[in-house]
Amino acid sequence: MTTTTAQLQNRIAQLSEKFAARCTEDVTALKDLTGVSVAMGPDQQQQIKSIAHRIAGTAALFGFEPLTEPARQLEQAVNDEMTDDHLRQAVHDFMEIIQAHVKG
Amino acid sequence: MDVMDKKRVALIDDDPLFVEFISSILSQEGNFRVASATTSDELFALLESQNFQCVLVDYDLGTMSGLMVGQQIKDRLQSPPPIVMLTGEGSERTVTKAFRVGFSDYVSKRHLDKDELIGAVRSSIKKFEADQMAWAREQRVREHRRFDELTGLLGVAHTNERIEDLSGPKGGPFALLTVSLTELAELRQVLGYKTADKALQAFALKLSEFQSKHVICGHMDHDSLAVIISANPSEELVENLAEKIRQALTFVADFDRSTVSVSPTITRVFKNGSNAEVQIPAKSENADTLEHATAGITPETATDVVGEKTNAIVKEGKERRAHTRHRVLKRGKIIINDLVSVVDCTVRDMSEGGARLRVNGVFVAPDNFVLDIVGSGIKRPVSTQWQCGTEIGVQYMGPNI
Repeated sequence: MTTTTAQLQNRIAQLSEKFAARCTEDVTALKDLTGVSVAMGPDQQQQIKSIAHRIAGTAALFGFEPLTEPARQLEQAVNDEMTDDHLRQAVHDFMEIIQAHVKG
Repeated sequence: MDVMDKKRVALIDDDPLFVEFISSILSQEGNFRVASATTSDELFALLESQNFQCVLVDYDLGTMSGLMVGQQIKDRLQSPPPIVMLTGEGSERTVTKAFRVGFSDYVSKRHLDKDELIGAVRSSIKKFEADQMAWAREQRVREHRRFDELTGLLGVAHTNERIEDLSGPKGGPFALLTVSLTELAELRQVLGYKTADKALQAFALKLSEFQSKHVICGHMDHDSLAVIISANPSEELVENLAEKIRQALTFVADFDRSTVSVSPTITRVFKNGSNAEVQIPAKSENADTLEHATAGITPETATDVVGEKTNAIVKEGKERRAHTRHRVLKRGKIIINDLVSVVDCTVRDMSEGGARLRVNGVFVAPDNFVLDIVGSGIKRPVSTQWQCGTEIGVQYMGPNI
């Protein structure tokens, strides 16, 4: 293994840790967005979609492949304009998946 | 020796972690210099300030389609670098669209292979550099062509040769008017090089109508035009001609669905029979008006100026609304080709017949799309009537879908 490759491996490992930390923050954000007292308006839905989209695009790169498909499904759930209750449930399920695979 | 050392690559993605990831691969494994952006505005600020040999664009930038950004790179830059798409989707349809826009390659994000990524960037740069050399050779030939291929006027070399001949000991008294399109730089910045070239072409066409036995029109350089008046013209004749040119070259026209106002900046130089040069003050009499009218127009402020209808580039009254409009501030979605692309927008005003939209960043509206005004129950096919920068006027073309 060349020195350059080792440097890259170290850098990717650092970024993976950042990704995991960000996922933990995302869970907190998703909780705030789907609180019972929070109305699920367009802004909230857009934020949920942004989080899901971001995780779907990069989870596999940072070693969290199992998050990819659930993230895509959540993004699609927002596009499908689910009812508030259905969307809350979808977000809740997704948060559990994150917590199962990411050690915060 | 690796000839790809330290080539510059620009990268746009809306995820900062992904940007760091790709930057690390390209800089440490590919030996590139990488500059990154998370929005299209940031990207164009980079592209307009430095030369890049390649641009990497994410297909889905959240609020904007990477295809649109790619199209804008092709339209706005005079010599656009090759564009490689990064996509998590990778469907055949997406790839086909990318190549049609002019992307040189694409790389899958989901199954990213660093060697594939670096190889795609390197091969794109190699092809681009070969194309650039061919273009440079063509430019050298072009400068010596008799007639400019964009405007049809006398080419640079021949125009300057003519001026030198008249300026020499065997030349007689003559006058020279240099004529430039005042708003050219701003047109390039706001509407892109392709649209600005069309404006310059129309501008030069009107100038060419003044040609005669003793009046020759040509290029001082690519952007500035010259009117050479030979055979001992009087000052009065030259002033009259300059005024006629000023009037003829002040006009309003439509280019690529943008209505623009253009005007000339004219300078005058006399050479009398004793070979002494007499220079008339550089600014034309309406220069102050022109400067005032065009001051402050930037991509960021253009929409505000349009909103206030004081933009010197965009003519008032372009919209021919048959219905009363009312101001709103609603979130909307521009849906293109059955959800292949969805672009967020803000609906600024609405009427029974249409709406005015504002998009973030650089976006060229297609002729037809579906407008979904979120929360209003309106989701209708529309036709683009006009666009200036980030402002778009649309007309409804059918009932709610």
